[in-house]
Amino acid sequence: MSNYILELKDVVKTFGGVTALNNVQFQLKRGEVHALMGENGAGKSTFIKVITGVHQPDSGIMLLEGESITLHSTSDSAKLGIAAIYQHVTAFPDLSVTENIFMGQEIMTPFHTYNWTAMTKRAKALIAPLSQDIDVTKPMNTLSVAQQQLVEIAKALSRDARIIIMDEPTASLTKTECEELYQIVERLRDDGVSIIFITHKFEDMYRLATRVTVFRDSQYIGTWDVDKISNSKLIAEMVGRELDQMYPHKTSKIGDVVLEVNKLSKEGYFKDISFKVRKGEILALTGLVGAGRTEVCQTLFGIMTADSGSILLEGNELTIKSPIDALKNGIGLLPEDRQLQGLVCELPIYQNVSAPVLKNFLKKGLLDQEAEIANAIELCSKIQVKAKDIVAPPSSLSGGNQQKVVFSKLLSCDLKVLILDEPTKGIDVGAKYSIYEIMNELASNGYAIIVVSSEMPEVLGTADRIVVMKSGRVTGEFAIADATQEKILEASLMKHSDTEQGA
Amino acid sequence: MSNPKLISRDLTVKDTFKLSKFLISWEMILIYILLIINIALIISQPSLYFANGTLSSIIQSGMDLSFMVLAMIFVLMIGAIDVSVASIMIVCSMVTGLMMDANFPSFLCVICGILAGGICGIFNGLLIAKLKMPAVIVTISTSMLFRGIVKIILDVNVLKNFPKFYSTVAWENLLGIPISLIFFLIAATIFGIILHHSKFGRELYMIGNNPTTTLYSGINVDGIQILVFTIMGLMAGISSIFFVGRMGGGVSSTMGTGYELNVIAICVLGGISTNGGKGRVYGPVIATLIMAFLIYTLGLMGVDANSRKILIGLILILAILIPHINKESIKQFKQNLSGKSKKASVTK
Repeated sequence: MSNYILELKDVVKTFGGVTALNNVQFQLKRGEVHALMGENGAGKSTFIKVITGVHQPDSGIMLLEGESITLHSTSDSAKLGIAAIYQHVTAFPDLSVTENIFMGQEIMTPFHTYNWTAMTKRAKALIAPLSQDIDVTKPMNTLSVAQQQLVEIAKALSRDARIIIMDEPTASLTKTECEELYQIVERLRDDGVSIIFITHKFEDMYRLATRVTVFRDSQYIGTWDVDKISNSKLIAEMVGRELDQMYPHKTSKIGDVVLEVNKLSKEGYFKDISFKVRKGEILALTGLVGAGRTEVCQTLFGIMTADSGSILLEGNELTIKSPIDALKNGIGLLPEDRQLQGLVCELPIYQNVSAPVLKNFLKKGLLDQEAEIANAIELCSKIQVKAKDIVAPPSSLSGGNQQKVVFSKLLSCDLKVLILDEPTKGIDVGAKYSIYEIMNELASNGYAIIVVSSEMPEVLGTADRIVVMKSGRVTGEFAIADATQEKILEASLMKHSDTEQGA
Repeated sequence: MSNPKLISRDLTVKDTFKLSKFLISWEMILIYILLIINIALIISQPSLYFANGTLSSIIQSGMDLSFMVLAMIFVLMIGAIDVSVASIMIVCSMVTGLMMDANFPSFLCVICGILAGGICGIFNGLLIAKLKMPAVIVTISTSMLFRGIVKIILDVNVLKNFPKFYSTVAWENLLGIPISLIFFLIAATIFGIILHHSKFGRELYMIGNNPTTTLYSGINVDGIQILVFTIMGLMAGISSIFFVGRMGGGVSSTMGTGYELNVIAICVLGGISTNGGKGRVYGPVIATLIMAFLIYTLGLMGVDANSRKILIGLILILAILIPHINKESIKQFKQNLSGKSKKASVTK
């Protein structure tokens, strides 16, 4: 009898000419939490899709409890007790929790109609140990992301899943939600479920996993016991080189105030927001998810309009009604969701880069594509975008490189203020470092930078000044020298009544 | 930046022209189809095919809606649709006809007719861009609205007074080439340059693929939508010239029904995605000719009008299906076939 519940040997998967998995090995013990780490594009997603039967490997073998299996579709893997919970929950948002759990495996009455009483009862029983706050009759879209994930877990359990794969489940969860998830994962592990936990966060790995496997460039790099590998060694294995430090050294000189925001308010979103950004300065806007940071940024960029308050650029008051106004005045935004707001993923990279400044490339009224391409190549090489060539669509790039294309797009505009909304979200360790480098370089070139970030180490590592928001209000402002993790956390958790008194 | 360990990759364009790829591009496939129809026609009716005037009358039969096809490319490109074009075309014809009856100078009548189309287009565009209503609903409604206005004004009367050049452009040849085809090719060239080489054209592709990103890129998405529908209206006005000319200079309120579907069908056959953001001008230009030849050929073969519709429907379904057939889907299909026999090995 095999020691492992799931074992993959020499798995190869290619798409056209691209090798997505190259001789990958993997061993999952019964009842263990196994972390799978690696940069974006390392092959983790393809790997899950092979295990769940979405893709069929070109060669190699898969052993489930020592027996060789072939999967043709996700229903095959579901039958064998393999379930995956994806980063972006793939549920039916308008259907109820019960309907979601029993989708495709409905309990029937003898008359071949749906037995809702039985299904609701069973759904309640499945959800109860996971969370007390989920009403199984409510539609899925009334739940938070964390709760939706719990429903997905319940769904996996309803199918007697023995192996659960979680793809970056903590990516969009708050600290408390993460902790709740950790406890549930531990409970599942104790019940004998084997879990593959894909994550970018070291915190997740240290908290949960006993072993960690690293992929890099579609290759299997190695598997270690979590307590026997150092953080720096692990990062080195993931990026394939030593990262001497997580954050690059700052070089910019801080100058005069460029952008001043005074008592900016928007009913239902934020109130009395005031701050200043100077030339060459990186101002971090932090706080918990939902504190209103993104809305403030979108107001500065003209996506939303403020009810009251003023925005001053170099002392002159601005009226910003649309992104057209914002860009004209030299305010650029790197949006939170690069695929939905930052890029046209199907069009060539160079067309994305020149999108906001097409009028600069007009020659006799028509677009000069040669000049566009030359400009895009210059900007993209400067920040080291890695792509097949400049006409490749961004959809073919990894997350980090996509983000760099959005940066190139901003750099092609003539800007004074850069607003970066979660610039490193969903980006792997190695690429993060180069994004920080780009931020520093831009600051030393005289841009005033506002960066929205939820990651505390990132805020402390990159910013010159930190503004903390909670429930649409500014609850603290710190110079980097006085800022500590504790102070920021305290400000971002400050109760509403405290804010009132403080203001 | 300052990290020498990262090697920046060469980003220069590497894909050069590949003949094999060009030969199987959708536009080339459309040309093959056009050739096949022609060959079939030559073989079955050689004397008729080479007879004087046959080819030009086939082409002329497809030219009246061709101008709307060009504008519809833009509409579909931004992910919208306009099913009110046939009604707009009749509005334009009516405006021109009524003004002719009132003895205005003919050039003024024609211009006012075309402008009437533009106004209808602006109306569509405003509802869609500013009130954020779905294009399909807006244009279904305005289609009835415009047609209703024409029906009330014209009742059962037929307008017969149109400028002389209407029948000239619709029926005459210049050096053996139909005048309507010449106008169409000139217009197609202009539309091609706009779509593929202008700032406006690039913005259409961007909106069609991702309107949010386009907005975030500082592009006036609403304005472009309104402009596209206005162009559509104006082109429906221009189409009305060729339409009335071909119909022999008489217009009644019920004419041109169903034209909007032909226009959209030709665009789709030409490779324009109804989801927006995909396709080129050349495809629908060839597809316009294919449709004209197809309808004419089927007519010659003695296929009656209703069966012709069935056949054209089937051909459209095939045309939409073909681009979806690729290596992956064939592989999938084979796997599904063999998968059924292998199921046993999985469930053990």
